[in-house]
Amino acid sequence: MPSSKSFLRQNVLPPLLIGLLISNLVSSPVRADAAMEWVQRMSDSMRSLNYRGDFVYMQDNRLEGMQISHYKDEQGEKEHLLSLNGEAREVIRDNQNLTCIWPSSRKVIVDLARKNSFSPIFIPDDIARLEKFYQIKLVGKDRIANMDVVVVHIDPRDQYRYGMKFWINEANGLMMKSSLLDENEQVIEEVMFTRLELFDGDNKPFIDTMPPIDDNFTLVRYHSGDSSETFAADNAWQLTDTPGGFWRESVLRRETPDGDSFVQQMVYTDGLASLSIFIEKKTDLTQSGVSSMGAVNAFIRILNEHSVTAIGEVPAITVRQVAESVNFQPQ
Amino acid sequence: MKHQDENLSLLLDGDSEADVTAVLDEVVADVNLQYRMRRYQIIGEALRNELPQAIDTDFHHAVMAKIRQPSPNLETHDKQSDQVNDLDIVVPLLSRAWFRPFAGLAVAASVAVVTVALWQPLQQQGALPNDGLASVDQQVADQQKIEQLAGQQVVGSAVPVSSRVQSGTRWKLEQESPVLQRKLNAYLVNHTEYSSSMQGLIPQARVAGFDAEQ
Repeated sequence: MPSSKSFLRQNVLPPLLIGLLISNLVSSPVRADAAMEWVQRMSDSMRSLNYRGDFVYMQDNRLEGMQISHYKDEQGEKEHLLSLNGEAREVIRDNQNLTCIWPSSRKVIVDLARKNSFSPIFIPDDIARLEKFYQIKLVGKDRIANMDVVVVHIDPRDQYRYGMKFWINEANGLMMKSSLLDENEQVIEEVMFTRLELFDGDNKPFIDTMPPIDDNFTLVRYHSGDSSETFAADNAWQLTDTPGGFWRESVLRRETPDGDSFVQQMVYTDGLASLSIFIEKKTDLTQSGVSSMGAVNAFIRILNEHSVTAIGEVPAITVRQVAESVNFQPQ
Repeated sequence: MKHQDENLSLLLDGDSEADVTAVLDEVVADVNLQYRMRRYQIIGEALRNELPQAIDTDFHHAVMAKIRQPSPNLETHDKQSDQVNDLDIVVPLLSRAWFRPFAGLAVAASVAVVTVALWQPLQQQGALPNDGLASVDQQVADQQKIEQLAGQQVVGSAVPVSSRVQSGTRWKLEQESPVLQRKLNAYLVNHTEYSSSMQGLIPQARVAGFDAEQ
């Protein structure tokens, strides 16, 4: 007669282990889905809610205090960002314009705003594809600016993209903190709210209130307001070797300010990270090489009398590989 | 007029070929030339990043008001007389091609500096019309004010000069180059606008954090 231990080993443990294994296999996607649900909720909240608050932005051991106001009404979204340290730099964005103002330097820039650029938390359609390149998981709970948050970690599976962490307000879904992480999970760039409040649509912040006009400036309207001034892409410029998971999202070609030549921009994304390649005629001042600003890397090379610049919120190895894979093949 | 401009420019550039006495005689005799001289000084200060650091927190409100106007000033510049154009050198210097999209920050920034600098004498007198969108009549009136201003004694430069302190973020380059700083900023703005990255507020914070001297 078998002992009770041997009975357990032979008849109970195997099915139990198999059950646990199956349970674990099933629960992993569920956790990823739950994490993505939070990210989806965050995206919706950041675009649909009216909020204002103060946050800190950290980059290269520099800390910047900033203030944001965002609201949405029947006219669309409007967002106002103000730097609280040093020069009062401002970025104002509505459905038509992206306006950057450096008041003490008296510099004003008005460019076309793009639809996707509001609090650009973009939810990729193909989560299964995304999970080939990132592990997406809920990692716990925390407290930011005296508010309860859940923490989502998006962990890259290779060296060609950064990791991300989001701290999401449990009550309203707003993003309270976000970090970009390098391959060692060290923070490269980070924003964190220190104060955040909701307001109703009838109590719009000052960004929609025009006070008596102070005529200390002249506006240089920078864009024509017509986004149709694009030209057919030059298909002679192609990429031969993009890092896994990156695909071409769009290509644009426009005249340079002097009207003498063209700049072609090709945007590549893996669904979360993105980079652009800018190609234009090289000048005497064109320099090749690497550059960086916080998490953004750029690599410039000269090819066929053109400067080819890959730039984006991806590791240096990625922009370098992409720039070096550009080739020119006349059609 | 062109000859006077060239002489004035040579003088302000410290060119040894300039006939200093002759140019100064012309300046003393011509109030418009006095104003032009002061204007050139301001442009020079703008190009050398020597404009003052004073912060005007209402600045963006006025900019936004102008953006909302359906017909920007630019539409009427070409129709102005030479006298009115003298108020704002944007038109003589720039063709409409400059206002095409995708141009990036570099050109816009420099244009803005020059344009704003030219209005500086007026703002010191608080003399501009109510909404900053000068009609033809308003511009003629402004021109008259400029002439009045030009008749006043000019002491030093039109705006105070102060040393500048770097604020905001800059690109790390292998070899420092303001041209490359501006170029990369322009690329980054366009990249941010046209890409769909999922990084929360970080992209906007980057743009807001740009060092203005770039």
